[in-house]
Amino acid sequence: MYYSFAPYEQDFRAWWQSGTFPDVSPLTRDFLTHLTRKDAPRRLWRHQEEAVMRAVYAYELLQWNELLLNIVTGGGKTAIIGAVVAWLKCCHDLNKFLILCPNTIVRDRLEDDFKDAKVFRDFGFLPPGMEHFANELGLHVMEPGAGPQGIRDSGIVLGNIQQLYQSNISGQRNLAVLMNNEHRIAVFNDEAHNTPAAEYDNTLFTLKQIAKFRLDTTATPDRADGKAPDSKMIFEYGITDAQAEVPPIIKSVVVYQPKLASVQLTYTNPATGEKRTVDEMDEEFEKIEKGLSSTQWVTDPDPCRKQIRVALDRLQEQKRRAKMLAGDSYKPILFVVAITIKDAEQARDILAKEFAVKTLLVTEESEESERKEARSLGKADSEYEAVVSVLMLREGWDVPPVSVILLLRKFSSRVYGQQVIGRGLRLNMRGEDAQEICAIVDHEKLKHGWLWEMVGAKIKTGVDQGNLFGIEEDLPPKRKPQFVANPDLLIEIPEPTEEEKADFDDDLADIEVQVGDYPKWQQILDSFHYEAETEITKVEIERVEALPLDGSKFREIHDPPAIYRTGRAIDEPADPARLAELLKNSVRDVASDLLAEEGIGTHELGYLYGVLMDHVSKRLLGGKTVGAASPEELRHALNRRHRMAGNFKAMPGLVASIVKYRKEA
Amino acid sequence: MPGFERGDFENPKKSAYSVERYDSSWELDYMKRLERDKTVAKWTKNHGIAIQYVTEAGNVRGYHPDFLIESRDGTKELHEIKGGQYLQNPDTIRKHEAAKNWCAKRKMKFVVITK
Repeated sequence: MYYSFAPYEQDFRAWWQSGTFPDVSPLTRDFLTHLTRKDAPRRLWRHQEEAVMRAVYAYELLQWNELLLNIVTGGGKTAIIGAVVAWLKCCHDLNKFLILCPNTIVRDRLEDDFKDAKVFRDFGFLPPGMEHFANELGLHVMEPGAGPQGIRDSGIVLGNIQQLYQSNISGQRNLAVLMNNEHRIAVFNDEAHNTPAAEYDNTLFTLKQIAKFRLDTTATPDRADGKAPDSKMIFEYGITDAQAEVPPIIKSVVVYQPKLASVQLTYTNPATGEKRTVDEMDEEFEKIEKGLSSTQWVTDPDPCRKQIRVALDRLQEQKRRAKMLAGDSYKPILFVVAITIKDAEQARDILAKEFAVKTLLVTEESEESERKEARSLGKADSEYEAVVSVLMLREGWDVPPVSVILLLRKFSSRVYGQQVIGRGLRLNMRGEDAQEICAIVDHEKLKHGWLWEMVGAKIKTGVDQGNLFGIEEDLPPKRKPQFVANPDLLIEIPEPTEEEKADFDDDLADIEVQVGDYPKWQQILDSFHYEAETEITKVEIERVEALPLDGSKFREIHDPPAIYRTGRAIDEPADPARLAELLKNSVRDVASDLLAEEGIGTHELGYLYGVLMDHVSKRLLGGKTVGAASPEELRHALNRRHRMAGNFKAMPGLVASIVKYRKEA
Repeated sequence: MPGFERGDFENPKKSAYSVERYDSSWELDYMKRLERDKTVAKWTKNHGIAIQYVTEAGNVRGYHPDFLIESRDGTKELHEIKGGQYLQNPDTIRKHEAAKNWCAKRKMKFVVITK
């Protein structure tokens, strides 16, 4: 997703920090002064205030009216929406606010906050003399059975975006009521872009005619289908930003991985009895995630049981933390994310029957009552200690007591991975001393390293069943507040001496028009050149010079580490089978990456992988197959994988052509 | 075993802020080095600079370089700490190119620091 705001970053900061808000309308200036007053009944968090400021700046100074805030789950989006509604009502004379969400769970949460103008009163958003506007900000919820009159009568109209879809009668009617009676509305999308594309796009397109302002709020702007909303991103406030606040506003993540040797992940297809190891499941996991496979893969009972044990150890630790650090003010919950419904059922059975843990199962096949139950998990009157789901419980399902997450499935897309982990990040404790973690039980073979990097996780490997850790051991370090202590040391950033391009639209347009159609793609592939380059295969170090950092000119000379004294071959391993595996994996990664960039589904992964492997053996292995190549040849090929990816990427349309003009097997 | 390598560098002498936040042990080491380096007058990681660049895939993204540094002689630099294995990554190259241009327009210098 495009970060549109970057060129205005410095100007915005100067504007915000001035405290006088130059260049906005006088009404807005008064409103912002009111919003930031120190004696508000409840104050916005710094980043919430920043989000509102950015929206104001983008709308009034940059004249943008379709905006997107990328804000972490738990980052308090509702209060931001409330403040923006108040500003538009008080300063821009907008009187109809449409709030759209993807599902009933998100809707219920928004309903709680906007009912009876609660959010406006709690935060005191409406300035003196304008408090009566609260009466014009009544709530109507669009839901099956609700008549359209409420849409006309209420200032705030809330509903699942499906309530405006043309494919159902009430949707047609609701949209018609809006279009026929309103000319100036503001639209808020809370995570609504994560709904299927075509109808969503149509609805928003229709609303554009009457929407003077639109604000999208989401923790994951890139959709699972690779597309992003068409609004302009004006703020990125991610997981690591929220963890760095003092006190943190979300939990920190600690990942526990068992010893590789003690838990081997294997799977069975119950329909055919076929068995697979985790290494053979990569493609299958990806297909399942995209809904392209209906095979009901089930984790074998032995690894499933072992992972559950590790997770229950974590639950025990979390219960101790809840007791010692929070006086048992909440009841920690284990959340198990399964591969398929059958996998989920098995996990539920093992938890309930073998470990006597009261476990709720929530899948697409669940009754409404069970979904309701999922929302009250962790409350004093809920009897459940664990919940098992496939991908049902994602955005909007916000249960802070979720303290342990067991991942039985592998995530292939950033969107799903972040959404699921996001379920465990809301804090139970508030206040200066709040230090909470979400414990994730994972497995090295699921290769979630990218995800742990994104969420700034601490990783503990080699965790055995029965290993219990002290409650303090895995807590994040306490952070000190950051403030300007010595203004003399602030560094002024120079103004550019020549004008900078406001955005990259021109560059991007150029990139787009060059998409080619290459029926004879094989010839192009055969012409790709991989020059012989000097490769460093062996390193011998004579001495090591240490450069002191105190500015002195002396260098310390040390002996090299023993292993480097006689020359050491680099680029281990030399085992051809291992190298072949590395090469195949990296070619698969390149293939998957190329497909993603061209917007082609992974159903073509096998085919493109075949084409690339053929290319590798022709152009990089001198015509040999991977199995027949020597370790040197394999290493040579491996070292050129970036170049290979670059060759393909340099010709937009090439990959699409390879798929379009399919090579016969 | 990788732990939380994030933390606070407290009471820096050459930064305007009460603490400077680091996200890796490398960054912490570099902060210590900047404090010792006599040619450096001021530094911070908390500068809010976002530089636009176009990724290999044609998306525009914001790049946040690590350190803003002012030398005793008044010159200003951006320093990026990067593991050597990432330097050939195509998007890293694009980021660094964008940063060089950004700096050139401000008579600043962009420096990649690696270990």
